[in-house]
Amino acid sequence: MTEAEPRFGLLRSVLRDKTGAFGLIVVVGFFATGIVVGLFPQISGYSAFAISAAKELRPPSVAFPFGTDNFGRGILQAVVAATPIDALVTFSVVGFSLLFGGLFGALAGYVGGRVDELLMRTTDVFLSFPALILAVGISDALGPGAINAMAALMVVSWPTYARLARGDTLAIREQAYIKAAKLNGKGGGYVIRRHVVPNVLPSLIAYASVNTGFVIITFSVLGYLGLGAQPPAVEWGNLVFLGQSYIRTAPWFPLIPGVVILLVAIAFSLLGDSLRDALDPTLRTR
Amino acid sequence: MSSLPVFVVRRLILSIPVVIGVAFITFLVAHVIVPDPVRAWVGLYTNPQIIASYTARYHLNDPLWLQFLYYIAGIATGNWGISPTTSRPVLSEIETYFPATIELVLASVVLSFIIGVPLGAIAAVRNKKKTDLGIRALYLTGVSSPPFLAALILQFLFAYFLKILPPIGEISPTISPPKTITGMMVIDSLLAGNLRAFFDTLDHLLLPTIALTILVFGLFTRLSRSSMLEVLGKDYIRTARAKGLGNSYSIVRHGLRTALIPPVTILAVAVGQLLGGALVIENVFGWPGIGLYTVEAIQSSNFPDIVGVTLVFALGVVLSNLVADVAYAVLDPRIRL
Repeated sequence: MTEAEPRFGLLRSVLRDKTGAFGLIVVVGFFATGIVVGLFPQISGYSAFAISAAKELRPPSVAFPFGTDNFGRGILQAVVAATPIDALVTFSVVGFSLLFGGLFGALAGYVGGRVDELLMRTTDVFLSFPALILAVGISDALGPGAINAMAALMVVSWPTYARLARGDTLAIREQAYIKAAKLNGKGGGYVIRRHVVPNVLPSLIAYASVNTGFVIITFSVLGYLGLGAQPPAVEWGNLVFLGQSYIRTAPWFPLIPGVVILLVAIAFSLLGDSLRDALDPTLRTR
Repeated sequence: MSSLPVFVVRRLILSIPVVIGVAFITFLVAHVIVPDPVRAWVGLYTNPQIIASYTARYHLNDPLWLQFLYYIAGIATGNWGISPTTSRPVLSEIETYFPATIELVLASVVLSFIIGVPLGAIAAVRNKKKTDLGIRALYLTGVSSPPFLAALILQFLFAYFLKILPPIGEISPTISPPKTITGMMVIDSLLAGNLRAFFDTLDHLLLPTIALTILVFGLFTRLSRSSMLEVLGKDYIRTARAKGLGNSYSIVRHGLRTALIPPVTILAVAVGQLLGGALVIENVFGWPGIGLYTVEAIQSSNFPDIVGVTLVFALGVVLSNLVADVAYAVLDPRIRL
């Protein structure tokens, strides 16, 4: 890795790792599909109201590579049409947790004392809940819907980021270059911005990638339980729920959307592992 | 170093603020996000007198901080609100459904341990070789799987395609269930000496247990792999090999024993994941536990029950963390410092 082009160096080292490259390709594909279909919904070829009794519950074929559902709508088309919601929700949840949790954690670690104590006790409480169950509780109280499910996921996701950022900040705080900056008369804001954030960010980003897989799964579980996007909007978890009653006669209906969720979740965690290895050379031996 | 009882007491005191915090969050969900809980309990079209009596009984006209104190007192005395669908107290509803979930979770813990720990040990011995990578791929797939997927695949394969196991339920409708003692049907039928019911419920328990195990065995594998790797690098293993003991003998007798400690303590950490997975898996298999109950509550917009379930699960996690810390302190006295 040369000093001049560290970003390309990171990309190259992820691509050199076969599993990391696979993860990256699927992740890029996921977001690209989300953006393109989000901008031009008709590309997916899916319409909630294009119902055809003649084509219902067909097995996979050329016209319908993933088969059709109980209303004769293509499952591939439904999966593609659902991508923008899943991509937007996961991106927002992870982005929020990274920003809010990361800043809160860095601040607590840097300032220490009461602020730190308050943060640690708050995160203790949040982490006592199984994340999935707290998300179910909150989104049920807010009422079903994709936005509420997203809010619930934000509430349960940020504490881990805060703890990570705090731990790293504590380790950095005592370093000589921080003391040097302070002796130079730099204020806390400057030190956090210029020294703490750049050092804490890599491990947070690696964790974010692994965590995204978990967020996708949890969002799909909320959808499966009927707390996510409401019909006629389609969403991956909800597709599985709708298909579940047809598992005996049309197993592709619930299983294929489920496998898509699995693939995307695995891709994010492979990419996260690969990023972590690339960003932190001391971890490579693990 | 302090003695064990002192450690346990100190750890107990430390978990009190966490429990209060947990109650505070469920209180926020129940009384602040949902502004009018009485309406949610008794429905929108109830006569005003009933609403007034509930409002008075649950102190809903008092300031929020006072309501919170009443809420804590209510939790402590077993008054968790009323389920609008059945008009029964939430706590007794939870008591009815919880044993089946505990049964499923326990069965899955045992299976995860039996499968997960040896797999991790094998992976460590074959570090970086194909077996290691294969095992890693296996548990990564399990951990990244949405909880309903493994369940649906198993149900399709074994119940509908091969037709060798029952697809849903806890016991066949043709067999009369044993008298409820623990609420766990496998144990109850054994206690009643009813072998026919015992094997039948065992058949029903098998698929949900495997599905839940697929989701969590990776936790055990990952930990047992890393702890085994550490142990294998220790001097006493080298000594055992050097004095001529066979490779597998030194690994099993000296290595595995020490490497078992961390997976035992992760049991408690896994509880959160197990409960979350059970929530979904019970719905696929119609297993009559707290997960099935929760989804019925969601579908009938019955939130007091959901808040109750959330609270129970969180208290379960706090308790199991406590048990894990104590177990760790017993196994490894250095922790008590």
